[in-house]
Amino acid sequence: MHSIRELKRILLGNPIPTKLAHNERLPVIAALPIFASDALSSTAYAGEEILLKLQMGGSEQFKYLVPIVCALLALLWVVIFSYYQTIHAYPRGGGSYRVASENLGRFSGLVAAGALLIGYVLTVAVSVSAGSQAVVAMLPQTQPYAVWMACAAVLLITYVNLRGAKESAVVFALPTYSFVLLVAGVAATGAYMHFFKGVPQQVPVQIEPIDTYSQLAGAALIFFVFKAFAAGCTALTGTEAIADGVLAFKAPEAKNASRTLVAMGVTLSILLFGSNWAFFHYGITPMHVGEPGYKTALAQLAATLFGDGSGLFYATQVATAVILVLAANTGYVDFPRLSMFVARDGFLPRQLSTLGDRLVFQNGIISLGALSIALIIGFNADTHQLIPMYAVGVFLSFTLSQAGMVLYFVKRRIGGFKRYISGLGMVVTGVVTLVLLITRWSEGAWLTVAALSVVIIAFYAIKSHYMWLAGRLNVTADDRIQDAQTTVLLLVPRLHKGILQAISYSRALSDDVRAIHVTLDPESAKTVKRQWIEYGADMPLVILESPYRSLVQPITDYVDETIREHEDDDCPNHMITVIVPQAVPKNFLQTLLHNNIAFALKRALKARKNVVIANVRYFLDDR
Amino acid sequence: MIVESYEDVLVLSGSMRKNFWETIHTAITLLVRRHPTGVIIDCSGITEMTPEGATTFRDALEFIGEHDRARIVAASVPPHALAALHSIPELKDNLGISDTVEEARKSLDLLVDLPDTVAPAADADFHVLVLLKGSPTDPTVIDAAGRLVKGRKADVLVLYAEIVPEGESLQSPQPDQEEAISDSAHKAEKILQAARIPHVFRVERTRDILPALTHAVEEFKPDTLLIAIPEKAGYLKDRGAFVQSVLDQIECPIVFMRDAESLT
Repeated sequence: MHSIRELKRILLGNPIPTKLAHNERLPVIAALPIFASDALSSTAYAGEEILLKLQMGGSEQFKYLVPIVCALLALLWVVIFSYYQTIHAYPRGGGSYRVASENLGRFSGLVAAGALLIGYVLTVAVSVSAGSQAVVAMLPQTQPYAVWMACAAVLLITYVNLRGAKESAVVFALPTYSFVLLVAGVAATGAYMHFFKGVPQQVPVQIEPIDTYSQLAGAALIFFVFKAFAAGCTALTGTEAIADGVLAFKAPEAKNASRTLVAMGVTLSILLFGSNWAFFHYGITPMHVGEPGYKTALAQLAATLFGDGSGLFYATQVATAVILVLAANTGYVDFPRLSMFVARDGFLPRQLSTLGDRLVFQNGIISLGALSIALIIGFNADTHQLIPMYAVGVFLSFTLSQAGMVLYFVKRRIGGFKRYISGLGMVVTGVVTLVLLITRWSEGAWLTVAALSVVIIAFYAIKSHYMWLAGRLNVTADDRIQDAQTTVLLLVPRLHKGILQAISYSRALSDDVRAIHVTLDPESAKTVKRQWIEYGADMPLVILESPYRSLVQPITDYVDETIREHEDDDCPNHMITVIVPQAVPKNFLQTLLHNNIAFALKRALKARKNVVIANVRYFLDDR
Repeated sequence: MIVESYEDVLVLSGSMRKNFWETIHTAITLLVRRHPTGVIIDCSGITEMTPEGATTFRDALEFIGEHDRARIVAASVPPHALAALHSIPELKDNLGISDTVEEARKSLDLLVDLPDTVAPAADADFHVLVLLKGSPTDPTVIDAAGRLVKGRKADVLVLYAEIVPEGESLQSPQPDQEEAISDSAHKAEKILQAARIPHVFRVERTRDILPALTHAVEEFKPDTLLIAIPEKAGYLKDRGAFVQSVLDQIECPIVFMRDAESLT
């Protein structure tokens, strides 16, 4: 145990006392990279996702890119506005879960929570997989190691988060701000070249539409554009993170959280609009993974504006790869916190609600890491298999959160602008959710729905267990403390100093004490007998033979029979105390030299009612 | 006090100044489970026994009485311990005492390998009870029993009466008789097996044959009782009185068979 504690201290740092918790809170400048990395990183792929959808209708449809992005930004600000209200309405945090639970009912809250938790796991899996793919794009020879790289990234982020919020802020700040500056630089360069250097609009590569979309018009065209819009909605994932994690901010928490939310919105707006305007203006055409000379849309833009192979080009690539990985951190910030809220309400294991040594929800962090790795391995770190599952859950939680806020305003008779904006957000995100479900159902959205169903069933099963437990454990007026008696069985391998201490202890517990020795051969029995008689231990010694050379079975048989005797005697409160002397060697290596059956015995006896197993340890300090 | 538990033997060592029933109870229960015929308590290691210590055996007897047909036999009992045991009337009458563990084992395992005291074959409609003593001519009586049931759906209960003299505990082994009974029973078993007659064996420890016989008749309700009568004086001191008593007390059909030895 001492060694484990020491190892933990070396790996994770010294424990932080609760009274210093406020020191671990985050100021806005540190909180932004932690909470906004997921949202900001979507700049790297959201536009590309829109272009890939539009491409199916032919390169002519690229003209809808900028309007779609504008619509996305409008939706983004509707969602930001709603979450701004949520932060101030619920300054203790909890986000969508809290809003939906309190305003729409428990079931809605759990659906929101389940959707978000699944979303966070997918956030981590998608982000590190995307980062791994970015590395593969730069270094194709690393392809066979894509899964391993992704898993290693998860382990690294998990480790950093286990060290605490402040330390993760330090690690994540530089890459995040670097990415922001570089992408802003790309967009700014593009704008400068167009507006001040007169670089004309470039025509994209001519691409013919696929058969299904060759005659787009009317409703079909609207649906087509809406599908592209829905694909781009991945840009909004991560927006809810700040509302979930209000308590992570320095005081005044709600104010700082809302400031960070606005800062995130402004930054994301600039990056999204700027990069996508530049995609359109410079005729960027999305490529498919595996195509010769594959580059992401952002990489193509950087190559066009900075020069392919230039320092700034590689800097952009590296920053993109890093932030794609770091985007996973948003999941690490909110998954443990959200699972804490749900666990506190009894719908998840209680272990998820406890703070660890470093004032983080370490069980939640570790759980998230494990689940993400399972997804990465299961889907081979392929983002195109993971992304279809991604946005459905998040938009479902958006919808429930917006609906919750509408009801919040209605109940408090807060009318006008706030209510209508939340209502608009609810409708739009609800429609997006439906579109995502329909258009991505066969690609993987069905899996999200299935997983969500399982998660909600699990929530209720866990809650049911805790309620049953409470019913069994709660003390009522009729409960009385019963007198109990105990039969003490002291296990004696042989007579030595450690046993003497155990004999004293056993006698202190009860008058009905028996020493038990299991003999594997007649000689050992003779020796024990002789020692017992010579020493004059005034306690009955029972020697049991072991025909099959087991040390545990004769003891469990004896214990079982003793229990039965007292049940027959109608003594339900009669306890059997098994005293197991246990040697505690000086160090781990000495442990290997001892045949310690305490563990095997505990395991064999653990299901017996009214049986107490007590270790009387004797410390082998001196040689 | 040290209690050792091996196979069918509980070895007690040390001083028994108080009731140790709770201490040995569990060990005896485990032994009885492995050996339903009973437990041997090897007392050779007891250095001291007071009357209070002897009450341990009284409690053990009470316990064993709840187990059908199981016995406790104390073996190799030192004289000082024997005196303490006999100071308790229940023990004097009921605790089996043997000289050695081996003698006790033979007594407990008597006929254990033969069909034991289970209910007779369910579909038999003719039941014969044969009373034997463990004499060399018993096979002749079994033959006769076989002729009695020939052609019928019948079963046979072979009852051995083991006479325990006054002054000894009823549970005490009688090595000579038990050896003879064992010999007789194994021969009877072969005959009955060959004739394919369903059968069970029972040994009744008794001071007198008649009560054991009466008890067996009440329990088994035979259609015919077959009793071998020795020509010469032996275990039946007064043959006439015995026959008359049987006729007076038992109502079922009875066949008295002159001992085959006397026919030669």
